[in-house]
This record gives sequence, C-alpha cells and structure tokens, in this order.
Amino acid sequence: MIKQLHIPLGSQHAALLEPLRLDFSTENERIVSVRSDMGYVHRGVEHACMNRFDFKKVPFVVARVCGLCAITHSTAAVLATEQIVECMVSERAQWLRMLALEFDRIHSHMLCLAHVAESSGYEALFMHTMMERERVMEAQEILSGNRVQFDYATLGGVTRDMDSQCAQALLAKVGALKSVLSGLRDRFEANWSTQMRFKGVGAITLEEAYRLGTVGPIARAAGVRTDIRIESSHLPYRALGFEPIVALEGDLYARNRLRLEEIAQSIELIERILEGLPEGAHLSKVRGRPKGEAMARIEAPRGELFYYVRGNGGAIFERLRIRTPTYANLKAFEAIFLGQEYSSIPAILASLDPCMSCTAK
Amino acid sequence: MFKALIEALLNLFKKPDTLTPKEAAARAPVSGSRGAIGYSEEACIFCLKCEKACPPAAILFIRDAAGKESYHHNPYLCIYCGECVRACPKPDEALWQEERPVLSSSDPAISKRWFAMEKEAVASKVRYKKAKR
Repeated sequence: MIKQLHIPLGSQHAALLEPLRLDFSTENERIVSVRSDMGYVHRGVEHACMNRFDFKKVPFVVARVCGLCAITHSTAAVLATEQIVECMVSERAQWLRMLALEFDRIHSHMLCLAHVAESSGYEALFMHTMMERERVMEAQEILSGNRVQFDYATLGGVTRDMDSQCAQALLAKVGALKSVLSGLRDRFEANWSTQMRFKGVGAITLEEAYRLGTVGPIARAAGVRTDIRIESSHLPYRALGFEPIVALEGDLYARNRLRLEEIAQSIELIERILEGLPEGAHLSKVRGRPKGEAMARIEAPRGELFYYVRGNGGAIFERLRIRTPTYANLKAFEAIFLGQEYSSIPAILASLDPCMSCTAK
Repeated sequence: MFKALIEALLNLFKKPDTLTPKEAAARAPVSGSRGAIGYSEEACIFCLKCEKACPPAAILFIRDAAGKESYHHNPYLCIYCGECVRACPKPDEALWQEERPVLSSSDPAISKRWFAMEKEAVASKVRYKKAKR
C-alpha cells in the first residue's frame, strides 16, 4: 500500500544549518516532489551598498553577507570596483588575495564535510573534522588578525603585509593539516559504514548538471569541468599551475572525495604562493570615484560568485548586484532530491553545502 | 574495526584538544590579532579622517560650544577592521589597534545613546560652521 505524506523541512530544523524551507511530498519513504523556499535571512545588503555606504566601505559591508565566504565576497567586490577607479594593484597583493581565498576554501570545505558526517549519523567524525579545521582558523588569524572576518582584501591591495615569520607560521599550520588529511580521507572514503550512506546517494548526472546550470563542487563532482579560477583572469591562478579537479559519479561520495582532494590541492597552492610570493607594495592608493560598469567572477568555495557594479561618478554605487553560487544551484537541489529516501535528506542537503545567508543577503 | 578500537582506547589517554574557559582566558593573543582601538587625545590633530573612513560609523567627533572636538568610539558597533588606523596620519601615536580583545571593559550604555550622538555629531559641526561665519 502506498501512503502519501507531506513533510515540511525547515525553516528551522535540527538538520539545517541555515533557514531554508523545503516542502517534500513522499510516497512511503520516497520523495516524489519538492518545493524550496528561501529568503528568511534577507537583510538588504545590496540596497545598503547603493544608499548608505560609499564605495570604499562596500568591501567591508559585503564581507558580512556570509560568515563562511567573507573573503570571497570582499575580494569579488574589490576586483569589480578596481576596474572602474584609478588604481594599480601590485602582483604581491594579488597573490596574497589568492592565499586568503585558498584558506577560506579549505575551512569551508572542512565545515561541509563535518556536517555531512554529522547529518549521516557519524558524530565522532564531525568532531574530528572540526578539530582539524581549527588549525585553518588559527592560520587565518595569523594571516589577517581575525578567525572569521578577514577584512583582508581592500581597494588597492590587501590590508596588511606578510613577513617571513608569518609565512613560517602559516607553513607550519598547513603542514600539520597535510599530515592529518590522509586520516580524514581514510574515514570518508574507505570506511565501510560511511560508504553505505554515501555511495549512490543524492546523485546528479552530467547532462542534468549541465542543463540546470550547476556550479562549484556539485558540478565538478558530476563531471562538469567548470572552475572560475582558470576561466577568469582576475587573479593569476594560471601562474600557479592550477588545474581543476573533476569526479564522475555525481553522488554524495564523489562530492566528499572531490572536497577532500580540493583541500589537498588548496594546501599545495598555499605552499606555492608562500614560496613564490613576489616582492612589492601590498597596498596602493586609489584615486577617483567609480564611473562606468564592471563585473567580476570568482570561485567561492561553493561555486561561481558574480559581482556587478555600476557607478556614475559619485561616491555611492548606482547599482550593485550579487549572484551567489547557492542561488545558481537551487534548481539542481530539487532535481537531486527527487526519488531519494527521506532518511538521506539531511546528509544530501549538507553535502550540497547550501548557504542561505549568501542567497537571501 | 580493530584499528578503530585501538584508536578509541588511545584517545582515552590523550589530552583534550579543547581549552577550559580558564585556560582560554590565560592564553596570550595571537601576534597581530585585531583587537581594541586605542586613542590618544594629546596626539590627535582632529583631521576627522578616521570618522570618514570607518565603515560602520563607530567613531564620532562632537564639537562643543567653544569649538573643541571630542572623540567617541562605540566598541559594540566597531568591526575592528582597522580602517581608521590606516586612515590616520599619525598611526601608533593618535590611533592604534591593540592585540587584546575589548568588550568586557566597555560601558554597554553607549549603544543606547549612540543614535542621539550621531545626530549631535552632525548638528554640532553645522552649528560650529554657522558661528564661525
């Protein structure tokens, strides 16, 4: 006998990190339709940037859109604004921006992995991953002076320079993380019980990922070779010899493996940046006011982050538009949920790494 | 299974990775950590660059009837980004950022008065300009 059920998940729920409402219709345990609703954390950031704050303050305002990818938001805003004001950014500042972005990626991916472990019922792995993530947070404090809000990228460069002592401390932290990464990989990839929860669950095919315009790790785990780090030339990732990682299966297991591999890759990139950091000034003067329009694309931990700015020669932007990766992925979320068991939903949702404060802003 | 059992037994004798509140309080701040904003009235030249640069407008200068400026800082509104220190023509003398955290020692009543103070800061400058003319 088939029993039809209507199950709302959210807007507040123990398995949800951020307020999102999902209305599921199920036949017994299997999901047949889903409707998502977001916007519970709308704070009017774009409106504030267009009315209250002058363009030099905007990178600090947009950093508050999201706690996890604060530095990606401020870097994207800075990269867009620098195209329409007079300023020369040194190579060193660009490299330091990449360094901060890679640290951000590591800690965001580790948080996602930890929550996948927790949502699939493996509490000890959650704690273990969060413990190791703490090393990255400490490294971020050494780099920028704060664990969460970097306030690092600013118009004309970065807010503080890095000396050799700081570089040594960062290398030590990254080295410590490298040594525990294989243990984490072992638990996520080779553990018999986690494989039962992860393999073949929450899969998306390559065609669907293309059709729904998926971005970030979800797309890469399904085989789409998309990474803004090589697609855009705002930051010199090509000089580091960066190549995107792609998996094929598209399921929860592939997403976990992809994130772990990207952490290892980010560690490598950080080491290369610290080795080959060019000399120069870390901050240069900005002259003039924004006139004209510009856009910037940047690879946030969750995918493509897009910024559009338009200035009319005044101190305040005429228009600022933010398109976040979770917004681009929302349609794919619904496709992934269809046909799944209801009990897997928390783990699938955690592996999709939704960021509602980014999306609703 | 066997590996996990050994690890679980070894973990019983490991030192915990977390700190007690007492240990955390006794720990020295990380070098270069962004903490309290310090100010010296003697060194300040009252250029008001910090007031203009502050993203959340947590620094206000209010003029009294004699035209003397006074500095006000709201530690609850401040995001400790250090923009004011970078804007200051005399950093480390007039305005600086310390490594210690701040909130415990500040007066919470300042947040309640802040909206009135923001209006007063604008009005006092207008009044002073008129009187000067």
